[in-house]
Amino acid sequence: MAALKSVDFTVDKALAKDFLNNFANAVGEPKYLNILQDVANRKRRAIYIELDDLVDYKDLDEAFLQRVTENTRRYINIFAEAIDELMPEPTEVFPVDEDRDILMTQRVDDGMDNVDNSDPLQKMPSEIRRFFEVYIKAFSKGTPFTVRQVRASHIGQLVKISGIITRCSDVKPLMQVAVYTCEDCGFEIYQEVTARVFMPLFECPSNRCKINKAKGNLILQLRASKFLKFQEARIQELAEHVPKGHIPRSLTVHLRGELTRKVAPGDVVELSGIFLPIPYSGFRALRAGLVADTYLEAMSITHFKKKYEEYELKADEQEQIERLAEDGDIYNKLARSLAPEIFGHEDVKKALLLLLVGAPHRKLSDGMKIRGDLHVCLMGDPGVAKSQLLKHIINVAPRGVYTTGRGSSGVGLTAAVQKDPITNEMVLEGGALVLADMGICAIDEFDKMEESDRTAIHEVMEQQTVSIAKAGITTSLNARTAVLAAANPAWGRYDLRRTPAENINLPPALLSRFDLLWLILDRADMDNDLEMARHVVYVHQNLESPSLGFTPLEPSVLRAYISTARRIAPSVPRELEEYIATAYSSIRQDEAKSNAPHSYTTVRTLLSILRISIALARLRFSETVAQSDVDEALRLMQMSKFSLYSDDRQKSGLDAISDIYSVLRDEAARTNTMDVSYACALNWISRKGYSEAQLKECLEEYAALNVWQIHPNTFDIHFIDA
Amino acid sequence: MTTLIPIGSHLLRPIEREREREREREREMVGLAYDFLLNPLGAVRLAFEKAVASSPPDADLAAAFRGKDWGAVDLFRDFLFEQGGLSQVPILDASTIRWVQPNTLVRFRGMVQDMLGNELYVGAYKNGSTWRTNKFTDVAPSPMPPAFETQLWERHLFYCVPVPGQNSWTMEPSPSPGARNMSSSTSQHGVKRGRTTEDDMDLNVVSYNGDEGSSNTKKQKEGESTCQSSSSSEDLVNHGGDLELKNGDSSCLSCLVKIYDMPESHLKLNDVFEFIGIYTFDPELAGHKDNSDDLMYDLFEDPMAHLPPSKVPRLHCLICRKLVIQDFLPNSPVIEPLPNMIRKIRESLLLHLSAVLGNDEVAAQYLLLHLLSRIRAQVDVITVGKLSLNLTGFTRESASIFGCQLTNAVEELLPFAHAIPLTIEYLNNATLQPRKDNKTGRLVAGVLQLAQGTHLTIDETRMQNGTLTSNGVVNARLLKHLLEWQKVEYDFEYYKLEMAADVQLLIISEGKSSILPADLVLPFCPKSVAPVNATSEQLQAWRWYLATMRSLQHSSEPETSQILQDEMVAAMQEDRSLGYAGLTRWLTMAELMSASFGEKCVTLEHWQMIKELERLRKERLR
Repeated sequence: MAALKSVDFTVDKALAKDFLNNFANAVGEPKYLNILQDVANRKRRAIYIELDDLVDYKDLDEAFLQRVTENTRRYINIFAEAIDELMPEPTEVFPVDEDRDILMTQRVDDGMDNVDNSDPLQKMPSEIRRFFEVYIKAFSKGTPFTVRQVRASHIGQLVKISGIITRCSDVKPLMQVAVYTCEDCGFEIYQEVTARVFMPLFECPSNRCKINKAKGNLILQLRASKFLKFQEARIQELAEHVPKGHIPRSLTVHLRGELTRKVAPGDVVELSGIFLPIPYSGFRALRAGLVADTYLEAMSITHFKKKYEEYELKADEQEQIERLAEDGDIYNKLARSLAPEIFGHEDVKKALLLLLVGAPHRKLSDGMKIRGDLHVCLMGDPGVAKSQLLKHIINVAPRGVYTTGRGSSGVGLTAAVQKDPITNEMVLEGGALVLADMGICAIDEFDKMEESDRTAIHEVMEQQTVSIAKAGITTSLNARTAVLAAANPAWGRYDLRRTPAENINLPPALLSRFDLLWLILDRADMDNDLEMARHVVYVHQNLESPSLGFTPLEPSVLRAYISTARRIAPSVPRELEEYIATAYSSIRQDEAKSNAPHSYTTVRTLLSILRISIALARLRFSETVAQSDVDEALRLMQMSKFSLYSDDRQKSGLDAISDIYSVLRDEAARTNTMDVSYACALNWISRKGYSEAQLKECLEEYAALNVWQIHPNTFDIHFIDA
Repeated sequence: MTTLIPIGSHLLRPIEREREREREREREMVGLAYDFLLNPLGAVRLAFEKAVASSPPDADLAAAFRGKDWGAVDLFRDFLFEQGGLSQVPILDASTIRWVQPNTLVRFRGMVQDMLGNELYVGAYKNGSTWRTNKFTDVAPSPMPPAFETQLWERHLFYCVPVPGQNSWTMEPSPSPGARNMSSSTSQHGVKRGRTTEDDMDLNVVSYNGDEGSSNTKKQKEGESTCQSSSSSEDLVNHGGDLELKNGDSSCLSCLVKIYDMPESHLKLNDVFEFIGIYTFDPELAGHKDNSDDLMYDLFEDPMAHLPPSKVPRLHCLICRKLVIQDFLPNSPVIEPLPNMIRKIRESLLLHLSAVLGNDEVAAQYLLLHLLSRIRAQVDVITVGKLSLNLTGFTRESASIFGCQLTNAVEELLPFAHAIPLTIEYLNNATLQPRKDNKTGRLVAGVLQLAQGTHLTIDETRMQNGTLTSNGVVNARLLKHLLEWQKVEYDFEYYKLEMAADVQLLIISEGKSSILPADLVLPFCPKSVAPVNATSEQLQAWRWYLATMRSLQHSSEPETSQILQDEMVAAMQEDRSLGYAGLTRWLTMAELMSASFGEKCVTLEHWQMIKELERLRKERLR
């Protein structure tokens, strides 16, 4: 690197000094001088020089910045030297109790009468005087590299990578400056250690000993030497960064000083560091031959956030989201982009989208908590891609746990008290539901759940906690999770001869906790079958799936959009309260009227309506819930009910057209009007689960019977008084 | 060392003379520079020096050649493929490793089992004022100058093993023991393989000053027919558990291949490749046991530490190519794919298969389709081309007769075949799942780490009541997942990665296997026990037929697809349980049926045959 071009490092030191002195952050405070003062006062050790600040610096020297990123190791020293010169006096008194302080005062005194300073080994290295560690932090913007992308050309450079920590060593001391005393001349001899292995000195190199030919015996002074905390870790590529047909790469990371003990195996982190070859020494150099091991000397560590609330948007994502938000059809678009390979099931996907979005948690003044998470249950025949849907949702969710009702580990779904094999202490271990706190827990084979979990899940779904009273541990853990369950009907397949209640193999108390319950049946349907056959033939011929007719959004975009939506806490305006109340009471009345109610509309239903409406408002990035949100919520609930009881509807003898008519007539009678706008009519009937096409058909049919008149342009309805 | 000059060397001679003096010292190390076979490094270095000399003097030379080839590979390509040098290159295996000299050109065939990432090495260094290169080698001829006069380049490391389950008949014959003139035998079977041009090999005979050549007759490979389930079970457990253990065994030679200047995407895990490159072995590097300063490195063991050069040879790859099944047919007959020829082979193969299956013709038909199946694509929820077969109705007695015949037959017909005796014990103890060991940095192979196109026979007849441990549950789930999706989950400790597989699965069971849901369930009805024998010509023809027909592309006319589509819709109206899986199965069978006649296009005739077969199968199921 030295051969490239001669760089005057003294000039660069001046530049560094200038930057540290003059850099002012957004509020005009001298950021680095403040840090230095803290260091002088022994309040902190680590000084992070952020490249972001270097860029923002008013007198930015582009070439200097480039040199810093490409030869980082050297510039750490340059900055350290600059800091040495800038270090202010401490403004606060701190207790002088460390060995080192005492040693230092002694050394400074010695230095006065020590004229023998010409020998470099006797000169006190600045390292030993420093009470700080300098780190250069990479740009926070820009995508980090994967382990695979770090190549030979990055040697010596500052790089940023992301990955998962797979192994961590213990923290060990690493000698930075070895200090010896000579038995003969009594001088302190310093030896700076830059590698992991060093050759100790045995003969005193001081002038006095040399002149006297005394060959003074050196004794290593461990207490006087300077050690650094040192830890090794190994970082592996994340699953999503591994190209198909390859296996993840890993890289050794060296963590020093303040950066030690920051990571544990399993952590997903973003690291910035210097990519360096290991300087080999002694026999290893011989053995390794031409091969150079490499490592990353860590400069900063950022843990990845897995919660929506802390999700940081990338620059282009922000833009994309804004564009999407302007698009009116975002609700449909997002829903379709969930598991695009699964054909149809639009309403189910909509429900799953709302589950991802959720509603904010509420805590009332009296301490009562109302959950905001939506719970959805999918029930259906085997082979209708339930599991696929579940897995896809977990993929999209930033924090999601997929498990089966018979959780494979002993901990199960909730939590268990287990004996730690090493310490023999009883420890509390969270199950899937606890691990999914603030996220989504997808439970497949929900019906095959263990009895103990089934009782516990009642609590999880409403109170959102898991209580444990075992082995002397009494506590309750948070489990603020949205439950997405998939279950098979009682006899494996849905038996049409039996009632839905018999088919659904779950107690009503549990069922009522689900906001939406979906039955996906494999029904004989000519259109569907044709579609399926066409699809299979197409795939066999072209070895790719037919185009969907739209481009599904990337999971990352979905995640970004949802996390943005989740930051909004929409409120229900006063004028809508009445509307929701009437809607709720009408459902209750419908239920009371029918002789065989299959649903249990309770206050929980009302809360569900609110939750779904709020989630819908969030999707529109709106601060208030609109009437359309409530209508859509009611429609979804109705559809979910119809998926269960549609057979009954057919049995009741009313075909769709006449049912629509009766709905419209009843509504008109209730509001005491002869005119119904088309939009209103559409709202009403969609709440009952009918489509627009069916409404149009109904309008035409009954207009022909002269029951009503239809406005030719707006399709508004005017009842003809009979 | 006696060296005869192969063709191609004359190209280098003038330059060689020019540089004679300069390379005097180097020559002591590497020998004559103009022999591609015995001194390939000389050619590499010579080409480098030539390239350096011809580039502008002020350019940053070493950096300019980083990650690039300077014409050396072209020289070898020319030598190997244009001048027929390939046949003279010995194949590196357990028997040849005894006499192959280090720093010579060798070939190695194997499956990429592990990817050890990249390695930085001193690629170029300044010796005095000239740049020299260390590419394609592990040791430098001279000590390294200080760091600023060197250039770090990178190469990729791949750990390759012989293809799991490779049957012995696919191996090229090893040179006969005691043969003094190794090269003549190598060049002979090079001709036999019929891959090289019909050049006259005798012109360029290279004789090796080989060892006493006491190579044993080849031990039989694992995956060789084993009917005693106990022994084969042990075998497979071993295979999954510990590859290193296998490496000690002389029959199985793995190799650490170092690849240069190649886009990483070129090689994928579990790909079967042939690598041609320089075999290096340095006794100084190999002999030393590392102890002194490795105290420091106790946490992260170097993966290399487990692959000592004494056990795992290093190969610096110059040229590599992906192998297909056809490449594993030794002395394959040249059969012209005429329709009636193919029909004839098909008939004889069907006869053979039905003899194997006790004259059950329906089962033979299904087995043929199954043997021809190949994963063509994985699209969303549909895996196109998979056709796993579950033969039911075996008893313990019939399994011992027919099951054994069946596995033997499959092994004789397909290059890569495995048999798993599915018992509680096996499920609990075997390592099916490949797993990353983060301590050693190695990917520990599991039984299910298989090359594309491997056949797997699972014998469930010995299954008895028992309790599965958690390992057993994981294994059972893996097998089921493989059957359903043709994907194997690899365990990377903190997450799992799914790798696409292409494995033909045949299950033998008493009743319909509930652990292993196959695409086709067929009750097996043997009529008689017939003696099974086939001549080697017949076997060769069948192998050729299966390999060739399997690689056919499929298509269908729009009209035919329309009819198929309509028929499928009608069938679905009758039988709700068909679903995607059923439709895909039918289409796959129709395609395979047409392929079995050597035709690319599905016709209605094939469709009718499939429908008839399915009718017969349904009858049996009742």
